[in-house]
Amino acid sequence: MTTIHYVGVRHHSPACARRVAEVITRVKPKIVLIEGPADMNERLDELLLPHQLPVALFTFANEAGQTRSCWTPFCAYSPEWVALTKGRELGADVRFMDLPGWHGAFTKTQNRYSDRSGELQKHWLEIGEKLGVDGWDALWDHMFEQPVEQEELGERLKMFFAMLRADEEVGDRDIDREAFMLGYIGWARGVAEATDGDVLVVCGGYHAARFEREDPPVLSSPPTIPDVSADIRVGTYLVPYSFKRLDSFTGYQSGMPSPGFQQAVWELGPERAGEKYLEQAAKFLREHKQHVSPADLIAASTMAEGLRRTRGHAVIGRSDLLDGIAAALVKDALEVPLPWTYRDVIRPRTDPLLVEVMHLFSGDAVGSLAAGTPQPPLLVDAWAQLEAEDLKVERGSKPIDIDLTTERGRARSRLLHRMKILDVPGFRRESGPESPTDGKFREKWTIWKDKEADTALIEASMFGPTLEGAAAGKLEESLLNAKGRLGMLAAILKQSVFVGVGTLAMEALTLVADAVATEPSLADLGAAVSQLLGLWQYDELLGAGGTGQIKIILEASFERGLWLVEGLQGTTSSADDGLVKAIGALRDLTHADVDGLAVDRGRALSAMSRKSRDREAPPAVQGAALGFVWALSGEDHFAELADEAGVAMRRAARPDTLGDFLAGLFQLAREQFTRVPTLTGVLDEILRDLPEEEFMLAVPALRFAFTFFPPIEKEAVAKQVAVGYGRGPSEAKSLLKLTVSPREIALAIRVEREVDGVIRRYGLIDELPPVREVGGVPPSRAAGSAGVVAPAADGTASVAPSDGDAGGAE
Amino acid sequence: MNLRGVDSMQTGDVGCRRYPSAMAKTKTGENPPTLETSNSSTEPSKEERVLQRPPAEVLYAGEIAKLKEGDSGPKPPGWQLSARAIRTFLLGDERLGIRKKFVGNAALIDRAMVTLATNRGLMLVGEPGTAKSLLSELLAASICGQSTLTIQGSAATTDDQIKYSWNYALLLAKGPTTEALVPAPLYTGMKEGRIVRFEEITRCPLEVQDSLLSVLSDRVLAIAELEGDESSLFARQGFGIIATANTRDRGCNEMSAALKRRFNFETVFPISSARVEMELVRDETRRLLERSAVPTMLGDDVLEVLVTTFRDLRSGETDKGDATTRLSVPMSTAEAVSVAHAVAIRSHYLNASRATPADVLECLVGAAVKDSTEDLKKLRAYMEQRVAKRTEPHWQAFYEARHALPE
Repeated sequence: MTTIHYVGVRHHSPACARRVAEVITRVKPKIVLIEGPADMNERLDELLLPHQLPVALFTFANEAGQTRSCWTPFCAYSPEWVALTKGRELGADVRFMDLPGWHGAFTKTQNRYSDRSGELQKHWLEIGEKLGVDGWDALWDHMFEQPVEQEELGERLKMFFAMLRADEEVGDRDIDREAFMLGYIGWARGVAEATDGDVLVVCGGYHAARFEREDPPVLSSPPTIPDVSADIRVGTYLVPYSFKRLDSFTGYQSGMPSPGFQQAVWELGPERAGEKYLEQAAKFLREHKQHVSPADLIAASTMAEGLRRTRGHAVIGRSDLLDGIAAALVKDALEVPLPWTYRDVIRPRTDPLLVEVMHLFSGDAVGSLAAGTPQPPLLVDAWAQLEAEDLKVERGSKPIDIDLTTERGRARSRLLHRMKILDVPGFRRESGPESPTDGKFREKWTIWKDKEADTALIEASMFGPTLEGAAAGKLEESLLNAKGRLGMLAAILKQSVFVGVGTLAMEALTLVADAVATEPSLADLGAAVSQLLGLWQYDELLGAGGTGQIKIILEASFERGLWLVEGLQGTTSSADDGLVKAIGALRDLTHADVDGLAVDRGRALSAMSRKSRDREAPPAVQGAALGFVWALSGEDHFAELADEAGVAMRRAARPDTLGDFLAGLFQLAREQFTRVPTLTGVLDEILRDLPEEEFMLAVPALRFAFTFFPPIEKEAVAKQVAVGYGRGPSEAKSLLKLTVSPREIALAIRVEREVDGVIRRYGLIDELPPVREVGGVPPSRAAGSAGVVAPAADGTASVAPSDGDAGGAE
Repeated sequence: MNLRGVDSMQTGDVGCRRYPSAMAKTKTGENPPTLETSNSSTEPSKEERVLQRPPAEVLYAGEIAKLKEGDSGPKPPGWQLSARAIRTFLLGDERLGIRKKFVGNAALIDRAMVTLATNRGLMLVGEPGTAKSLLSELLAASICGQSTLTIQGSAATTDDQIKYSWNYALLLAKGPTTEALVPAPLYTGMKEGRIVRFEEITRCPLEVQDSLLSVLSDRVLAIAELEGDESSLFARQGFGIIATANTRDRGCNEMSAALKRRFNFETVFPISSARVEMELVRDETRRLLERSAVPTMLGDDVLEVLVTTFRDLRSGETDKGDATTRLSVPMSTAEAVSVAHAVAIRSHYLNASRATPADVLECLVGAAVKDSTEDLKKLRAYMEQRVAKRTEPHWQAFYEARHALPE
C-alpha cells in the first residue's frame, strides 16, 4: 500500500532537518520529492559532488537587458539538503518538484527558501502573544527547536502549518508553483503504487498543508517544464555561498536567522549549541575590542540559564542566550529594539555590542565548489583573458601600473574595468584619469585573490556569457535604470568608454541627447557637458559617428545650461561645487567655439555678467560667473574686469560668503587673479579687517578656495602679499610654511591679547597700536552692507576684552 | 557619637518622624497599607474606595491571591509567586480573569524577572511615559506583595531617605540603638527581603547613587553607629532593587561605571503597534472616567485622531512612513491617556455634549505641548502638511479646528 508522507518544513530549520532525516530513514521511500528547481533534476549529480557547504543554485533570466535572479541556498542543516543526500544514500529516486527559478512565478522572489510572510505572520504573532513569546523567530524556537520527541515534533509541525495555511486560497504568487508541484506528486503516486513503495514529499509547510489536504490523484507523467521564450536568456549555476549572505536576505525574503548558530545546533545538538556560543561570544567580543569582564560573562550565563527556566525550555535556546547577553552586557539605554526581535537588517543606532553579537551568530562559513563542477562560460572566459594579460594572482595581492598610451595598456585597463563594473571583488583602482580624456596617462590598480570573486562572476553571468558581453549587459541595465537622468547617463557614458564598449556608448549618447533639453539640475548638466566635451575633443574614442552626435548634444546643453544659470537663486549651495564645475564646463564649451561649435559667446557673456551681479545668487555662483566673464573677455576688458572683481570681493566680504565667492572665482579665473597684485592687496585688507571671530568662521571656506591654486601660483600670491607689507619677495616662502604648530600660534595670540588687556586696564600705555577687539564689533558693521568693512579698532579700546579677565596676569 | 546625627540636629531637623520622608513621597500619598489588608480578601478593600490611586498590591489583591492559589511553578527564594505566575499577572490571562496590565514585550518581563531572581539590580530606562514606573510597581507588588518601598530620586535626595535616619529624641535618650533607628525603604527592603524601588535614580547626585554600590554587590548595609551584630544588616532572600531612569533628563550617561556594572539595563520602548496603543488608551481612559464618575466615553473617531497624532509626533513619521517632525516634549502613551481623559471631562462638564476632534486639539495644546513655541510651530506644520491630506470626516474636523491654535 503506497503512502505519501508529507513533511512540511521551515527552510533552514535544524529541527525540520532532523525530522526529515528521521522520516526518511524510517519509511525508506521509493521516491523523494523536494521543493526545488525541476530543471536541475538532470544535473543532480552536479549538486551532489563533494562540495563544501553552504552552496546555492543561482538562476537568472535576462529579458531584453532586464535581469532577475533567484537563489536556492543549501547548508548542512537544510531539510531539503538532508532529503537530497539521505534519499540518494537510501537509493530512492530523488527529484526536485518545483518550477525553475527563471519562471515568472519567481519574479519578485530572490530567495526560494524564504519564510512565508505578511498576513500569514499575523497568526504567528497572535499565538506568540498568547504564549508570552515575542516575535516569530522566538516563537519558532520555542515551539520547534527545543529538543522534543520526533513524533511530537511531527504532530506539532503538522498542526502548526495547517493553522498557518488555514483555508487560504492559493495566491497569484503560488498558483503556478503549487499546480506544478501537485502534478509531480500525482506522478510519483502512480510510480510508487506500481512498485508498492512510499513517497516522501519535503516542501515548505505552507504548501505541504494544502498538498496533504488535496492528496492529488495519479498522473501518468510529471508535468513538463514550460518552454523559455526565445528572447529570454536563462541559466542555472552552482555557486559557493556563505552564512553571511544567507543571513542577509531582508524583510519578506528572509529565512531562519543566525546560520552560524543553527549550524552548531545541527552539529552539536541543541543541548550544546548554547554553551558553545556563550563561550564564543566572550572570545569574539574581546577580540572585537568590547569590554567584557568575567563578572559580566557569569551574569550573562546566569541570565540565559534563568531565562531558560522561566520560559520552560529544556535547553538554552537562541533567544534565551541573546536576551541573556543583552541584559547583562549592555549598559545603556537602547535607541532601537533588540535586533532579534524584528525581521529586517540591523537598524542604525543599534548598540555596537549587539551588532557584534549578531555578527557572531551569523557565522562566517564560506562554501566552495568541488573540483569539476561545471562553470558558466563567463568564468572561464574572464580568467583566461586576465591570465593572458598577466592580471591574475594566485595568492596575496599585487600592484598593477598601466600605461594608457600603449595599445596593450589600454587593453589591460579595459579588462580590469570590466571586472570592476561587474562588481567582482579583488580589483581596486588606486588612481588614474577621472574621465577617459582628462590628460592622465597612467592608471594604478591593486589586484588580489578574493574568495568571493568566482561567486560574483557566476552571478554576473546573467548579464552575458563573455567578459565583454557581461560588462555591456550590466551597463545596458544601468542605462535602462537611469530613466533619462542625465547625471547617471553621463557616468555610464564615461564607464562605457573605460570598459571599451563602443556600441553601448552610442546608445547612451542617444539617451543623453533626449535628457539634456529637459535636465533640471545644472550640476548634472555640467558633469555631462565635461564628459561629452572630452569625448568630442578626443574623437578617436568613439569614432566619427559619435562626434557628430556629441556636437548636437553639446549645443543643446549650452542653451539649457545658460537657461539654468539664469535661474540660480538662493544661498543654500555653499559647499556645492557641482554648480561651479558646471559653469566651468560651460566656459570650456564656450571657449571651444573655435572648432565650429555653434555657441553664442556674446549671449553667454551677458548672461554670466548678469549673474555675477545678482545678489540673490549663491556666492560661489556669483564668483564663478564673474570668473567666466573675466576668463573669456580677452585682454581688452582685462583691467575693467579686475576692478569689478575687487568691488565684488568687497561686496562678498562676509564670513559666510567670502570663501564661497572666492572658490567660485578661483575655479574659473585663477590665472587672471594672480596677474593683478592689487587684488591680493584688496583681499588682504578685507581679511585684516574681519573681526577675529568672523575670520575664524570664514577660514574653512577660504582654505578651500585656495586649494585651486597649484603651489607655484600660491607662491606668486604670497609674494604679492609680502611686497604689500614692504618685505622682499624672497620672504614669500615663509608665509607659506608654518615653522610652529597652529596650536602654538593660537596660544601666542591669546597670551598677547591677555597681556594687552591687562596693560590697558591699568592704563599703563595709552598709545598701543590698535588691537582688534574680540567681541566688541557690532555685527551690523561686519555685515558690511555699505560694501567696505570699517576698521574695528577705535575708541572702544577701553572695553575689556571678553576673555581678558581670565588671564591671571595680575 | 554620630556626627552626622548631631549635624542635622543642629540644623533644626528634630522632627520625630514615624516614617522616613521618602516614604511620604510615595505616589499614593498615603501610608503604605499593611500586607494583611491586601491579602485578607479578594474584594476591593475599603481603602481602595477612598484612595485616589491605590498601590498595585491593593488594587489587584484579588488577582494576586488567585494566582497564588494556583501557582505550582518553582518560586525563586523569597518570592511570593513563581516567575510564570508573575508574567501572567502582568500580561493577563482571560481564562483566569487576570487583566492585562502591561503592554510590552514578554521577553522584557522575562529578563526583568530573571535579573531580580539572580540578585542583580534591574534598571529600567526609556523615554518618559513608557510605563517604566508602572512596570516596576507591578513587579514589586507581585514579587513581594509590596510596591511602596519607594525612593523618589531628585537632586535633593539624601542618604537618610534611602537607608535610614534617627529618631533624635530616642537617640539622645538611649544612644544609638535599633529602636532609635528610623528605617528608610532600603533598610526595610533588606531586612524583610522585599523589592525596593528607586524612581528616577539618575536625578540624584552621583555620590548618593553610589551609596548603593556595596548593597548591590555584597548585599549588606553597614550601620556604623550600631555595634556588634547590629552594625551590619544582611539582606534577606527576596531583596532586590528596581531603578528607573528616563532618557530625556540626563539619561544614564552620568552614572558611575561601577554602579552601571551592578545593574542589568532594560530599555522600555513606546508601544510599537498602533492598534495595541489605541486599545490601551481606550481602556485606560475608560477606567479613569469610571473613577471620575463621568459616564460618557470618547468615540473611536476622536480616539483615533488623538492616538495617531501622538504616534506621528512621537516617532517623527506617520505609520505609513511619511516624515513629520518630532516634538521636543515626550508624546507618551501615558500623556495620550491623560489628554483623552481631559477631553472627555471637558466635553462632559463644559460642553455637555459628545467630544469632537476639535476638543482634542485644544487639550493637546494645553496638556501636551504646554508652553513651547517651537513645538507649537511643529504642531501647526503637522496640521497643515499631514492632517490636511486626510479625507475622513473626523480628520477634516480636526483640520478645521487648527484655527484654534494659539498664535
